[in-house]
Amino acid sequence: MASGDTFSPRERDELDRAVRVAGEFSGLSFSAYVGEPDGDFRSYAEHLHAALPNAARSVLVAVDPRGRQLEIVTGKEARRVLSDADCQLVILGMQSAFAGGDLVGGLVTGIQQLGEHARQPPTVHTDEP
Amino acid sequence: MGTVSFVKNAQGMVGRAVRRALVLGAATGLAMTAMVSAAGAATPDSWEKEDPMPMIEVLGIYAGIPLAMFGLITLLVFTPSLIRGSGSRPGGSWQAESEWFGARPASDSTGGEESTSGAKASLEAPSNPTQGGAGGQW
Repeated sequence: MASGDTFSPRERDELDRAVRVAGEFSGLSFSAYVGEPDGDFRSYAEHLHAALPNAARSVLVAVDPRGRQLEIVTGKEARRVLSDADCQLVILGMQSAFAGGDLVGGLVTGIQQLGEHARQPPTVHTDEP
Repeated sequence: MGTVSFVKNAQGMVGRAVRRALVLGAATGLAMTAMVSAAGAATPDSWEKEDPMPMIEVLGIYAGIPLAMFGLITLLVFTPSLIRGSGSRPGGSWQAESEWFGARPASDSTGGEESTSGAKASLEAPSNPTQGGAGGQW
Protein backbone atom coordinates (compact mmCIF):
# COMPACT_ATOMS: atom_id res chain seq x y z
CA MET A 1 0.00 0.00 0.00
CA ALA A 2 1.45 3.28 -1.06
CA SER A 3 1.03 5.34 2.02
CA GLY A 4 1.11 9.07 1.50
CA ASP A 5 2.37 11.46 4.09
CA THR A 6 -1.04 12.97 4.51
CA PHE A 7 -2.05 11.09 7.63
CA SER A 8 0.23 10.58 10.56
CA PRO A 9 0.39 7.07 12.00
CA ARG A 10 -1.61 8.30 14.93
CA GLU A 11 -4.36 9.73 12.74
CA ARG A 12 -4.41 6.51 10.75
CA ASP A 13 -4.77 4.61 13.98
CA GLU A 14 -7.64 6.83 15.12
CA LEU A 15 -9.48 6.33 11.84
CA ASP A 16 -8.92 2.58 11.87
CA ARG A 17 -10.24 2.42 15.40
CA ALA A 18 -13.29 4.54 14.58
CA VAL A 19 -14.14 2.28 11.65
CA ARG A 20 -13.68 -0.84 13.74
CA VAL A 21 -15.67 0.42 16.72
CA ALA A 22 -18.53 1.64 14.53
CA GLY A 23 -18.63 -1.78 12.90
CA GLU A 24 -18.71 -3.58 16.22
CA PHE A 25 -21.33 -1.19 17.52
CA SER A 26 -23.75 -1.60 14.66
CA GLY A 27 -22.95 -4.96 13.11
CA LEU A 28 -22.42 -3.24 9.76
CA SER A 29 -19.21 -3.03 7.81
CA PHE A 30 -17.79 0.49 7.72
CA SER A 31 -15.27 1.82 5.26
CA ALA A 32 -13.75 5.22 4.79
CA TYR A 33 -12.23 6.43 1.56
CA VAL A 34 -10.19 9.61 1.34
CA GLY A 35 -9.08 10.54 -2.12
CA GLU A 36 -9.95 12.06 -5.40
CA PRO A 37 -12.90 10.92 -7.48
CA ASP A 38 -12.82 9.90 -11.08
CA GLY A 39 -15.67 11.97 -12.43
CA ASP A 40 -18.81 12.69 -10.47
CA PHE A 41 -18.16 12.10 -6.81
CA ARG A 42 -21.52 10.57 -5.90
CA SER A 43 -21.44 7.97 -8.65
CA TYR A 44 -17.77 7.30 -7.97
CA ALA A 45 -18.55 6.69 -4.30
CA GLU A 46 -21.40 4.37 -5.30
CA HIS A 47 -19.04 2.46 -7.56
CA LEU A 48 -16.56 2.09 -4.75
CA HIS A 49 -19.29 0.97 -2.40
CA ALA A 50 -20.59 -1.61 -4.85
CA ALA A 51 -17.10 -3.05 -5.15
CA LEU A 52 -16.84 -3.61 -1.41
CA PRO A 53 -17.13 -7.13 -0.11
CA ASN A 54 -20.57 -7.58 1.42
CA ALA A 55 -21.73 -4.31 -0.06
CA ALA A 56 -25.32 -4.72 1.10
CA ARG A 57 -24.27 -4.45 4.74
CA SER A 58 -21.58 -1.84 4.11
CA VAL A 59 -21.45 1.85 4.81
CA LEU A 60 -18.90 3.88 2.87
CA VAL A 61 -17.83 7.34 3.92
CA ALA A 62 -16.04 8.95 1.00
CA VAL A 63 -14.25 12.28 1.27
CA ASP A 64 -12.61 14.27 -1.47
CA PRO A 65 -10.48 16.79 0.40
CA ARG A 66 -9.38 18.64 -2.70
CA GLY A 67 -12.85 18.96 -4.15
CA ARG A 68 -14.34 19.55 -0.69
CA GLN A 69 -17.00 16.91 -1.19
CA LEU A 70 -18.19 14.08 0.97
CA GLU A 71 -20.58 11.23 0.46
CA ILE A 72 -22.04 8.52 2.62
CA VAL A 73 -23.21 5.44 0.74
CA THR A 74 -25.22 2.75 2.47
CA GLY A 75 -25.99 -0.69 1.16
CA LYS A 76 -29.41 -2.25 0.82
CA GLU A 77 -29.47 -3.83 4.27
CA ALA A 78 -27.47 -1.11 5.97
CA ARG A 79 -30.06 1.37 4.79
CA ARG A 80 -32.70 -0.29 6.93
CA VAL A 81 -30.93 0.70 10.13
CA LEU A 82 -29.19 3.79 8.82
CA SER A 83 -31.73 5.99 7.10
CA ASP A 84 -30.82 8.68 4.62
CA ALA A 85 -31.97 11.26 7.16
CA ASP A 86 -29.48 9.88 9.67
CA CYS A 87 -26.77 10.13 7.06
CA GLN A 88 -27.76 13.71 6.27
CA LEU A 89 -27.47 14.59 9.94
CA VAL A 90 -23.99 13.10 10.13
CA ILE A 91 -23.03 14.90 6.93
CA LEU A 92 -23.93 18.22 8.55
CA GLY A 93 -21.65 17.55 11.49
CA MET A 94 -18.81 16.48 9.25
CA GLN A 95 -19.23 19.51 7.03
CA SER A 96 -18.78 21.87 9.94
CA ALA A 97 -15.73 19.97 11.17
CA PHE A 98 -14.18 19.98 7.70
CA ALA A 99 -14.94 23.65 7.24
CA GLY A 100 -13.06 24.23 10.48
CA GLY A 101 -10.05 22.46 9.02
CA ASP A 102 -10.31 19.25 11.02
CA LEU A 103 -10.31 16.45 8.45
CA VAL A 104 -9.45 13.55 10.71
CA GLY A 105 -11.60 14.73 13.62
CA GLY A 106 -14.61 15.20 11.35
CA LEU A 107 -14.17 11.76 9.83
CA VAL A 108 -13.74 10.06 13.18
CA THR A 109 -16.75 11.79 14.71
CA GLY A 110 -18.86 11.15 11.64
CA ILE A 111 -18.04 7.44 11.59
CA GLN A 112 -18.75 7.18 15.30
CA GLN A 113 -22.11 8.89 14.85
CA LEU A 114 -23.00 6.59 11.96
CA GLY A 115 -22.21 3.61 14.15
CA GLU A 116 -24.37 4.97 16.93
CA HIS A 117 -27.28 5.76 14.61
CA ALA A 118 -27.09 2.26 13.18
CA ARG A 119 -26.99 0.63 16.56
CA GLN A 120 -29.93 -1.62 17.16
CA PRO A 121 -30.86 -2.52 20.68
CA PRO A 122 -30.57 -6.26 21.18
CA THR A 123 -33.90 -7.98 21.06
CA VAL A 124 -34.39 -10.00 24.20
CA HIS A 125 -36.95 -12.59 25.16
CA THR A 126 -37.96 -13.26 21.60
CA ASP A 127 -38.06 -16.95 22.29
CA GLU A 128 -40.46 -16.56 25.18
CA PRO A 129 -44.22 -16.34 24.86
CA MET B 1 -29.75 65.81 68.26
CA GLY B 2 -29.41 62.10 67.86
CA THR B 3 -27.31 62.48 64.75
CA VAL B 4 -24.93 64.95 66.41
CA SER B 5 -24.27 62.67 69.37
CA PHE B 6 -23.85 59.76 66.94
CA VAL B 7 -21.29 61.72 64.93
CA LYS B 8 -19.39 62.69 68.11
CA ASN B 9 -19.47 59.11 69.26
CA ALA B 10 -18.17 57.97 65.89
CA GLN B 11 -15.36 60.50 65.99
CA GLY B 12 -14.37 59.26 69.43
CA MET B 13 -14.32 55.70 68.16
CA VAL B 14 -12.21 56.64 65.16
CA GLY B 15 -9.76 58.53 67.37
CA ARG B 16 -9.42 55.56 69.67
CA ALA B 17 -8.84 53.24 66.74
CA VAL B 18 -6.15 55.53 65.32
CA ARG B 19 -4.39 55.72 68.68
CA ARG B 20 -4.49 51.97 69.08
CA ALA B 21 -3.06 51.50 65.58
CA LEU B 22 -0.25 53.94 66.26
CA VAL B 23 0.71 52.18 69.49
CA LEU B 24 0.66 48.79 67.80
CA GLY B 25 2.72 50.03 64.87
CA ALA B 26 5.33 51.60 67.11
CA ALA B 27 5.65 48.41 69.14
CA THR B 28 6.03 46.30 66.02
CA GLY B 29 8.60 48.67 64.57
CA LEU B 30 10.68 48.54 67.73
CA ALA B 31 10.57 44.78 67.84
CA MET B 32 11.61 44.55 64.18
CA THR B 33 14.54 46.89 64.68
CA ALA B 34 15.74 44.88 67.66
CA MET B 35 15.56 41.67 65.66
CA VAL B 36 17.39 43.21 62.72
CA SER B 37 20.23 44.39 64.91
CA ALA B 38 20.47 40.91 66.40
CA ALA B 39 20.62 39.35 62.92
CA GLY B 40 23.20 41.85 61.81
CA ALA B 41 25.76 40.38 64.17
CA ALA B 42 28.76 38.82 62.51
CA THR B 43 29.25 35.08 62.49
CA PRO B 44 31.17 33.86 65.50
CA ASP B 45 34.94 33.59 65.04
CA SER B 46 34.84 30.01 66.21
CA TRP B 47 33.04 29.05 62.99
CA GLU B 48 35.35 27.99 60.23
CA LYS B 49 35.47 30.51 57.43
CA GLU B 50 34.48 29.32 53.99
CA ASP B 51 35.86 30.72 50.79
CA PRO B 52 33.32 32.69 48.73
CA MET B 53 31.67 30.65 46.00
CA PRO B 54 33.42 30.81 42.66
CA MET B 55 31.72 33.03 40.12
CA ILE B 56 31.21 30.10 37.75
CA GLU B 57 29.25 28.21 40.37
CA VAL B 58 27.12 31.23 41.23
CA LEU B 59 26.33 31.81 37.57
CA GLY B 60 25.61 28.14 37.11
CA ILE B 61 23.09 28.08 39.91
CA TYR B 62 21.39 31.43 39.40
CA ALA B 63 21.49 31.66 35.61
CA GLY B 64 22.29 28.21 34.27
CA ILE B 65 19.57 26.26 36.06
CA PRO B 66 16.76 28.73 35.21
CA LEU B 67 17.90 28.82 31.60
CA ALA B 68 18.01 25.03 31.49
CA MET B 69 14.51 24.84 32.93
CA PHE B 70 13.34 27.42 30.40
CA GLY B 71 14.78 25.39 27.57
CA LEU B 72 13.38 22.12 28.90
CA ILE B 73 9.86 23.50 29.31
CA THR B 74 9.94 25.10 25.87
CA LEU B 75 11.04 21.80 24.41
CA LEU B 76 8.30 19.92 26.24
CA VAL B 77 5.67 22.35 24.98
CA PHE B 78 6.72 22.36 21.34
CA THR B 79 7.75 18.74 20.87
CA PRO B 80 4.23 17.28 20.41
CA SER B 81 3.27 19.70 17.66
CA LEU B 82 6.65 19.23 15.99
CA ILE B 83 6.14 15.49 15.98
CA ARG B 84 2.59 15.82 14.73
CA GLY B 85 3.67 18.02 11.87
CA SER B 86 1.40 20.29 9.94
CA GLY B 87 -1.23 17.57 9.62
CA SER B 88 -3.78 17.28 6.89
CA ARG B 89 -6.03 20.18 6.10
CA PRO B 90 -9.05 19.97 3.85
CA GLY B 91 -9.02 21.78 0.60
CA GLY B 92 -6.28 22.24 -1.91
CA SER B 93 -3.47 20.60 -0.02
CA TRP B 94 -4.26 16.99 -0.82
CA GLN B 95 -1.19 15.63 -2.56
CA ALA B 96 -1.20 11.97 -1.84
CA GLU B 97 -2.71 8.75 -2.99
CA SER B 98 -6.20 7.90 -1.96
CA GLU B 99 -6.54 6.05 1.30
CA TRP B 100 -8.84 3.36 2.61
CA PHE B 101 -9.83 2.66 6.17
CA GLY B 102 -11.79 -0.40 7.09
CA ALA B 103 -12.97 -2.83 4.44
CA ARG B 104 -11.79 -1.98 0.95
CA PRO B 105 -12.86 -3.18 -2.47
CA ALA B 106 -12.03 -6.75 -3.30
CA SER B 107 -9.64 -5.69 -6.05
CA ASP B 108 -7.20 -4.89 -3.23
CA SER B 109 -5.81 -1.73 -4.67
CA THR B 110 -5.24 1.53 -2.91
CA GLY B 111 -7.55 3.32 -5.26
CA GLY B 112 -6.54 5.45 -8.18
CA GLU B 113 -6.86 4.22 -11.72
CA GLU B 114 -6.94 0.48 -11.17
CA SER B 115 -9.50 0.39 -8.43
CA THR B 116 -11.68 2.75 -10.39
CA SER B 117 -11.67 0.61 -13.49
CA GLY B 118 -12.21 -2.51 -11.39
CA ALA B 119 -15.13 -0.94 -9.60
CA LYS B 120 -16.61 0.27 -12.83
CA ALA B 121 -16.25 -3.11 -14.44
CA SER B 122 -18.06 -4.76 -11.56
CA LEU B 123 -20.96 -2.36 -11.73
CA GLU B 124 -22.29 -1.19 -15.04
CA ALA B 125 -25.15 1.04 -13.90
CA PRO B 126 -24.02 4.42 -12.61
CA SER B 127 -26.71 4.65 -9.97
CA ASN B 128 -27.86 1.73 -7.89
CA PRO B 129 -31.38 2.19 -6.53
CA THR B 130 -30.68 -0.06 -3.56
CA GLN B 131 -27.98 2.23 -2.28
CA GLY B 132 -28.82 5.02 0.08
CA GLY B 133 -26.96 7.70 1.92
CA ALA B 134 -26.34 11.38 1.70
CA GLY B 135 -23.76 13.77 0.44
CA GLY B 136 -22.63 17.32 0.70
CA GLN B 137 -19.92 19.83 0.17
CA TRP B 138 -18.11 22.24 2.45
